[in-house]
Formats: sequence, structure tokens, C-alpha cells
Amino acid sequence: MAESMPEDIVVDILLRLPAKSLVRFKCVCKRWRSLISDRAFAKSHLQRLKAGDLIPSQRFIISGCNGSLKTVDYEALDDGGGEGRMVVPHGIKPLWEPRIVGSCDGLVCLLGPSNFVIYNPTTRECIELPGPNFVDRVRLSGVSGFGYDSQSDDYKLVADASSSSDENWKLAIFSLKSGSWRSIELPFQEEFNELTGQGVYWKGALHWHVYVLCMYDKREGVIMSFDLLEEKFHEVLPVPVPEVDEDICLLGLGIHGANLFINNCTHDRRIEGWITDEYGRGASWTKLFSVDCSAIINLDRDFEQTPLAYTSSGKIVIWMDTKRMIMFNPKDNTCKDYLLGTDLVREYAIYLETLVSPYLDGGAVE
Amino acid sequence: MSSSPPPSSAAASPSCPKKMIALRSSDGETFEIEEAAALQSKTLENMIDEDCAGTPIPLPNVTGKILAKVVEFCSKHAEPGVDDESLRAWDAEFVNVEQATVFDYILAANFLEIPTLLNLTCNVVADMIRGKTPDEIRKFFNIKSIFSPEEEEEVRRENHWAFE
Repeated sequence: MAESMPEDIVVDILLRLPAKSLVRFKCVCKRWRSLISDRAFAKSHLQRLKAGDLIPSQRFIISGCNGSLKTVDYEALDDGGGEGRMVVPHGIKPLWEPRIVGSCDGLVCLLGPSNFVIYNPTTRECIELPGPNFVDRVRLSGVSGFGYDSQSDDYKLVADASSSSDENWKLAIFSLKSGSWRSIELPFQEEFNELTGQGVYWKGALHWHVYVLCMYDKREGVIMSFDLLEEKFHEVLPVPVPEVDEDICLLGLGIHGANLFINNCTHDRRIEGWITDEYGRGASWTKLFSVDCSAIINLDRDFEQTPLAYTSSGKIVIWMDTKRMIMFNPKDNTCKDYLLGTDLVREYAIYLETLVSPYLDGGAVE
Repeated sequence: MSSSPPPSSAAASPSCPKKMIALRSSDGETFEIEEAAALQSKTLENMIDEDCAGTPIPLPNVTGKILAKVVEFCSKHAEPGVDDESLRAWDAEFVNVEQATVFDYILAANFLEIPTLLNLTCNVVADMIRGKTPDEIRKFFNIKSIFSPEEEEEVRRENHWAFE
């Protein structure tokens, strides 16, 4: 009777499985291999994923100085899986000091010494992009980001293409669909000085935390976005806590499930995390956690400890320094230490486990 | 119950709370189901609309054993005043059966177009299989792998990290 299971039901069942299981099930038979590798299937799978709870599919990718790339499955660590759950991706030639540009829909954009790479850590598909000729400038500073434009159904990579001689601000944009670069110019704005580094992709735009000048020469923290459809910058969100007299220090933006996540530390060594799913000046943030970190010994003040994630059991994953990560349990103030490997970790990004292929035009990658 | 009253042309809402629909399974058993519960099935809803609800509706694809359970499911889900949590717990118990029966439920839910039952049972099967090896999957679905040993080795190699 199992043989008479109609294929559309088999597909319905497969679409409910995590991407990791599906990658394994490509081995079951030719039909399943073809089904699972199909681009439309990957798209449906992504849509179903987004309609549910994203957190079980969230992972971190960390990059080390010697080109190592690793996935950290922090929920598995929480379950007592141990360090065996950290995986070193293969099939991607080691990039010297890869910079992580951003991630979206399970695709991670990396910057190597001479070009950009789009990689899906779950399916291990990888493509090198034709480089713009200013890659070295992007590596040193400048804004970058990777995200999805639903209007054109395209993934875009944004990189700072300005040189010091430019009057206006120049951004280079790569379209994965067309496989080509183009550039846009934006009139220079005060806030652009502050914009640097990886933008966080969320809701069709890239986001950065910056300070803007407001009344009485005060600086106010805001979240700025670069909308991938309009290709313009906007001030889109306030920050959850005003930074007053350096008592509160905002550490950075991230993603928690389907929400934008921001964290800060306070003068009395508390680390707090906030999430929001709203836009606009009136948007409000919900406090996800507020923990007293004096329980965490060996806080290295020269390295800003960054809370990376909040697990489903309420533990906080904190990036301590270039070599380790801890899982802090606020309920009993205990910490578990995890070595991230011998290669010093420089960057991280959160990503989803999906089947989305960087080969947008292909379907099955046989 | 005696022969049903003339079917109303007003579509889906039951004309009286206790209107019963008769169903006949593939092995000749007859079951009665309240109209409100029957409407959980799009297939039955269409038949009721098209005035086919006079005689017991024959369901050649569903055995009596399964049909009894499907009637039970639909009746439970048509019951007023059941809170979400109890319904979820009831559903969990309902699908706490052997694999072959879950498959039968899926086929019945598909044939009768009962979205709630189909969703529930597909989730159960998904949970059953997510951690399995390809070999276990083949046994589970009775799939004959048509990869040659070389092809299979190649596919395994391509995706070896997924097995770690």
C-alpha cells in the first residue's frame, strides 16, 4: 500500500522535513533525487519554512583566519550534543580570511581575497561571482550586504564601490539572476559616514545600526535600512534603549527567527537582547532577555562579548572571544564553554538551513 | 434513520442539527455521520451539494475499519466547544497507531479531501522519517532504488556530510 502513495502526498510530506534530512534523502532513488533538487521544490520548501517557526532551522556560520568555515548548531549543543555537532564544510576551497558579507534564505555570501562567493552550507553548492575590480576596497571597509528582492525575484549583493575621490556615494550591486554588476550613485548623507560592515538582511532590506545627529548636537542611535527594491536608504527604526552617557552600549544587530534582534550591554554588566517585527519610528521592541553577566567569569573587556542567539530552552549563546563561545543559562547562572577551534574566529552570520540553490537558473544540479 | 428528507438546495449549512449522512465502505459496512461532521470532507460536501446524499454514499476506496476512524475524527472536529489544547491532545492519541494505519488514514484523507486529517497525518509521517537513513526510507515507503551501485556511491559521496 505504500507503493500506492500518490506522489503529491509524498511531496507534501517531504516539504515538511528539514533541509538536512532532504539532502540525505536524495540518495533514496532517482525520482526523489530529481524532486529534491528541483528549484520549485526548494522554493516551496522555503515558503513552508517561513510560514512556521524558523528557529529550529537557524544556524551560525563562523569564519576563521585560516579560511576555515564552520557551522555551529547551537540548539544541538544545548541538547548535550557536544562539540561533535560543529561541522567543517567541505567542497569550498579555503578562502584566505573569508569575510562574511551576509546571508539570506539559506545562502551565505562570502568575500575571498579576490572575489565574492555565494554558498549554501546545507547543500554545499557554491559559486564564485565574477569580481568587480574593487574587491580589495570592500574588504578593508565599506558597506556590504546580501539579500532578496521579491519584486524581481532576485538575490542582490551590495558593496561599497566609492573611492575617496568620489563626491557621491557609489554602490555596486550584483544581481544573481543576471549574473552581472551595475552601480548606483547616491547623494552623500551625513549618516553614511557611520555605515560600515555587514548589513543584516530582514524583510527585503539590509539593516545597520548607526548614530545620527539630532538636536543639541546629541547623537541618537537608529536603525537604517537599504531597501533592495527601491535601492535607497531610509531611517526605519529607533533603537530599544537610548544610549546615555555610555552607560548602555549597543552591540549589534542580528536575527532571531523571523525577527530583527539587537543586543546591548549595560554599565552594571548586564547583557540584554531585544526583538521586533515592526517598522517605522513608532516601532517597539520586546525584551527577549536581560541577564547579569557578572556570573560569567573571564569577561575579556577588550573584546565585546556578543550574544548571538537565544535557544528554545532559554539559554544564551555568547561569543566570548576569537576562540570560544559559551552557553549561559540564566536560570542557574551556569556557563558551558565551547572552543571554536584552533583557527581564530573573526566573523559570523546567522543562516537558515534551506535547499535554495545559488545556481538560480539551473534546477537540478546533477 | 429512515430515508433522508429532500435535500435542501441551500448549500453547506445543515438544515437541522441532527441531519445524518450514510456512508458505505468498500467492504459493505454502513456508517452514519452528522452532516456537520461530513462537511469536513470536501468530497462529501460536494456530493451533499449535488443532491447525491440520498442513499448511502459508496466509498470504494476506504475500508470499514478506516472509515469508522475517519467518521470518529470528523465528528470530533465538528464538536462545538472543544478547546485547542484538548483537541491537539486528542489528535495525538488518534494518530498514535502503527505506521500502516497512518498510511491508510493519509489515503482516506486524500481521497475524501479532509485537510485537517491530511495535515495531521503528513506531519506524523514527516516526524517518523526525518532521522532515517536512505535505506530505512526505502523500506518504509517500499521504494525500489533504481540507482546502480556506482550511481548510488556517487550520490552518497556528493552528499556525504549529510550523513555525519
